[in-house]
Amino acid sequence: MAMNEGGTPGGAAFGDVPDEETLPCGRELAQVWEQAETGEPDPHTADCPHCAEALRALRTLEGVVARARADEPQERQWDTAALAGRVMDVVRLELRPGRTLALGEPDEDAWIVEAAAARTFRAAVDALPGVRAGSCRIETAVVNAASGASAPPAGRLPRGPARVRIEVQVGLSWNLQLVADEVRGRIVEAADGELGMRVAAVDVVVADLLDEDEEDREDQEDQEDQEDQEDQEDQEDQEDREDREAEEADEVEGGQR
Amino acid sequence: MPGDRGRAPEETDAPLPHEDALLVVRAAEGDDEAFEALVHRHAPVLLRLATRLLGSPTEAEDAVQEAFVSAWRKLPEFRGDARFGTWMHRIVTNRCLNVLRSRPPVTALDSVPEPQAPEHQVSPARAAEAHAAVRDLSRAIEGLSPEQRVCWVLRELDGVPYESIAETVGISQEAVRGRVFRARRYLTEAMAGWR
Amino acid sequence: MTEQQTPRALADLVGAAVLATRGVAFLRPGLAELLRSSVGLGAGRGTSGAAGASGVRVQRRKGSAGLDIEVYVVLSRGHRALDVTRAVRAAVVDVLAGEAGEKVSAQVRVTVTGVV
Repeated sequence: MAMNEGGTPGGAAFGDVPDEETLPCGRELAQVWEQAETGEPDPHTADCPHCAEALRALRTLEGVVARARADEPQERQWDTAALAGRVMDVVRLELRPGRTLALGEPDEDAWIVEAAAARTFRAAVDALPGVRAGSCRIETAVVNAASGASAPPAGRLPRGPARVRIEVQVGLSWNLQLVADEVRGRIVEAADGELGMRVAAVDVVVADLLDEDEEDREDQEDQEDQEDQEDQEDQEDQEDREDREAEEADEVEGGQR
Repeated sequence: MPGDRGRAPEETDAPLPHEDALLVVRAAEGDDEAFEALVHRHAPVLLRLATRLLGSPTEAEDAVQEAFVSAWRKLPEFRGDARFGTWMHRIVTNRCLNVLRSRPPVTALDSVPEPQAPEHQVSPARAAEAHAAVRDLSRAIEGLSPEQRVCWVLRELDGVPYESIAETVGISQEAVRGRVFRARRYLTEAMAGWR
Repeated sequence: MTEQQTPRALADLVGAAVLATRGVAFLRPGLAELLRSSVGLGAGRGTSGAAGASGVRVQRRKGSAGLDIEVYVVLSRGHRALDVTRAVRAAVVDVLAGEAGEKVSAQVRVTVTGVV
């Protein structure tokens, strides 16, 4: 049959098969197989011995492929602990600690990296039922220039109370004003109790609502609109600042290379 | 407590599992623990993919490891327009394609693929026969070109739609169809003895 | 007390004292390197500066007898970060008082690089 003319499987060069192949009945082999794949019915194929032979070849292959898949270990059987360990060994040599933030009083020389502080805040927020923390950025709230504070060491933010911006996903059953207050409370509490960082302001951004409960939804959206407006001004301000920081961050990174 | 005042959630379920998107945001901001959770979550599927693509569990582990490390480096620029799993699938596939391309060309008869892990429990004779067929298939796959192999494995073993393969590999859908066809053509030939 | 060796010896002592401080999980060498490059300390005070690899850096301040000491620590969860940094500072000061034996003015900077 036509299929055996294309060279033996042990042939030298791989891919050693024609792009197109016409069966003796005039049908393109590629087309016959694709029709079989899509399940498109074709009266010709049902009766044609050449097409039947071509399909038998494909089914044989599919049978062995199915067998090969069945022989594979189940997903949960893959041992990924060692792999994850090796990945994390490399990752921990290439951490991105973020900015360096002040701890304690202005005259103390104690600091914490942003990534560590953010993780603490996220954990505190996650402890609220139906609330999950996403992005968490921390910076120094604007310090009064006249206060005579000495310039911070290079690459560190000025010593002064922090401003935290946190995005949260919130279950629909929460009142958004209430949840924003709760989130603020948790962060202020964690900042004092777990870190020892002075926090001047916490911007809470509800980034996402969890669940799709239509009845609750309308109610919540009203709340959300209010919240959005409140956050609006803050946010513009915020974005300006973030742009500036993005530039600074670029410079720092450039210096590392 | 939130339950004490106003409308607060009544559910007191355990902490919700963190979705990928949330973990990705955290990891992008430097949270290595969030990244570790993503690694644990996605490693099994990616290891299976890489093993299918490369035929060697050892090489597959290396490819997946490198893919994760490169993902960590690229995360700050990852905008979340694709899902993390899709993104990783793409990184691993391209990594494997490069590995396949760097291999010296082998003829199907020379190649001896590494045996796959656990044995199956069926009647010995049938198991042996089926096993031999699978072994022949693995050997035949080594005779495909890297591009054919990747397209065929994604289509037949991973069940990826043609358009997604085209996107992943960066070629047209027509080119993917052509490669899958040529791979099938070659493999049906190789497996003719089992018909 | 030679120019080269004292900072190294002192850094080792400081490192040991810091590690013994309650709430400190470990010193973070790799990150100290990373942070050093990003805080813009000049070249020439790089890896040859003895203590860089241990998460503790001891530098002689230019043109004076003072020392600059930088400590990078990873904390154990459940300890208040500021309290640990204060305890670390106290431990470092103790070491200086005991070991240097002379009147050393030292600036001690403590940075928390992680919590595990």
